[in-house]
Amino acid sequence: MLLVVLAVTFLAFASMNFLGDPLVNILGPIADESSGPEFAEIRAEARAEYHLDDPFPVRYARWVGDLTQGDFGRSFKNQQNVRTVIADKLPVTILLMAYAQLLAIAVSIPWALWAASRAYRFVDKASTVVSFGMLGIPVFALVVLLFWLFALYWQIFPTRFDDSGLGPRLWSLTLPAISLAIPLIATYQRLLRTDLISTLQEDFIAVARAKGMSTRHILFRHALRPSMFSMLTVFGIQTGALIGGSLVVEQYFGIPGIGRAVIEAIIRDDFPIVLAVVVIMSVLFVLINFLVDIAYTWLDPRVALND
Amino acid sequence: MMSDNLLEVDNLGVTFNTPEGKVYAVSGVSLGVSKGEALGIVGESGSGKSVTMKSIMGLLPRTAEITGSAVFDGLDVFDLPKGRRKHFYGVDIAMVFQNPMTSLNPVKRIDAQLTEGMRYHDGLSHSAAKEHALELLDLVRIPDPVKRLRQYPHELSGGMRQRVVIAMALANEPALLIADEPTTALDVTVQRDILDLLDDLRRELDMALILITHDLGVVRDRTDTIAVMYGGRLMETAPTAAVFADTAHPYTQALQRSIPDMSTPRGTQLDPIPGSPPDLAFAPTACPFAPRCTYATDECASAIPPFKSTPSSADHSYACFHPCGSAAEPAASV
Repeated sequence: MLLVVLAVTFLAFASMNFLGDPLVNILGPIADESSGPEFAEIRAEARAEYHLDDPFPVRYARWVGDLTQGDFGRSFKNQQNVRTVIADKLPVTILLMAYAQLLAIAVSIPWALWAASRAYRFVDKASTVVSFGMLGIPVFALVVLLFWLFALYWQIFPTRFDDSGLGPRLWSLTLPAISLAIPLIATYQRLLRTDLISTLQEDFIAVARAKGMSTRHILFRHALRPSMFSMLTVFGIQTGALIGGSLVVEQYFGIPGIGRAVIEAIIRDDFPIVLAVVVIMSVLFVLINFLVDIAYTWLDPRVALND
Repeated sequence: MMSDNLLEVDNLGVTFNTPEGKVYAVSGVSLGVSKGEALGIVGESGSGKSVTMKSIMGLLPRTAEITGSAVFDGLDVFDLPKGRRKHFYGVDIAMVFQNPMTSLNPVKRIDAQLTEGMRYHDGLSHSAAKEHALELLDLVRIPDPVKRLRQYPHELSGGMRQRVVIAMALANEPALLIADEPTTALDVTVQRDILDLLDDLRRELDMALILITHDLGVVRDRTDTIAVMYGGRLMETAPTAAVFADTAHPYTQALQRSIPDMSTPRGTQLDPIPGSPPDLAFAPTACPFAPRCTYATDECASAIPPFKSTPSSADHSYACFHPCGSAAEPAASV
């Protein structure tokens, strides 16, 4: 786990340093020697502050060392402490992602149970068509469509992010979360439905039916848990995709989250912020997948014995 | 057949609608079990014995079409009144399945699986259900039941698991227990224990038992009546002793010859039944056993032999144009 995070930070740091001269990114045109000797002092200052004269491994080691102490460095552009920027913008992004995942799970599980218990009948086939439709729409198109329908036409949801308290915050995040959740819902529904259908063929389901248990009881109490493996695995992986999706959604809805911050930072070549976001997101991704691994043992007690 | 039976199956037929056409899995099966009695249903794979019982348990897929009737204690099993259906299976009739390794939910502890039936049907409290679960494990002779209750199925051996499955089936004191090849998937040494357990429990609880098996030897000492099935049809039904002493149907005879017993000398060649079971994709028009039968004539291939009783006993019936044993004698005198 630690190794994965280290590898990600190394790759990110290396690419930020070798794709273009950091000094140019910090100072702009005056970074060039040819721009005149009057800027030589500024150049030397910047080099000293950002330790640009040290060899790459040393700089990397220093950066990682700072990271472990929660120091993400300073922005190239406005000298703001990156940590404050992140602390300011991360919570709303995490809220958005969690909201989207919760929505996706809350909708996909009942839907999959409903479809699997009617497998291959007309309604199941129809719902398959719907879910493939949901998978097929790209996020940027979905965002525009939902925004137009629910925020402009019917005016159910606000058009802008409202930060005046938890209630308004959640309410104004609903439409963005739905946009993010729709492809997730379809993915989870597909996977869970397929696994449920095969679980429902198992002998222990027939045994439960022979015990006279209700269909509802059998679906929720017997079939659901052993059918959740693929869904859970993809839940972990999709968390990564969600980070990408939130870039688009935050931009479109004007949510002051990390996604918007990183896009702005990339445009301005503000690498410390980009690096910080990459590190935080990769740590988050690894952490969630670690939790997923733990959840396997809850899903199936036999997993624990295989260690 | 007697009408005071606990379960009375009459002229049961099951066909499956498959993409390749209809499959005639069971036709014209009539059976009865009275209270506390043990019935053995014997037949090889594909003979329709499991399908017959699954139709009664309501476990057939939606592609199955059921004809005929099954009456349990005055209730039409195929058309249960709404209020009765909710608490019928698991309460009046329970079933034990073939493979104990897959009969238990792998992710639920034994106690949860044992108690859910009683909690659902009888509304027992958590603690009362647990207490009853302990009694049940005792009843099926599982040592250290307190520990077992907290375990998962994978922590138990096959024989233990089948005992748990039996305990589960007994949870609501059913009047009829259907055991579908309950020992096929078990070690030979464990098989006998499980069969004896079922036999003991039937007597202790005064419960009717339908024991499905492909092994005549299994039902020999443990049942009152035996029904022999082949190709989805009933070949012979008789009190257990009569099946062995006065076999009427050539198929039953062939089955007996293909199974060794303790008196068979070492090295004796067993008598396998030549050929293979019939293809059930065609509507039955002949005796299904005719192609493999040594006594078969043209008549056997062109008409379905009627199911009739032997002259010696009204309880002993068979479906054959050329019966053996005492059933053959009056035919010879004609």
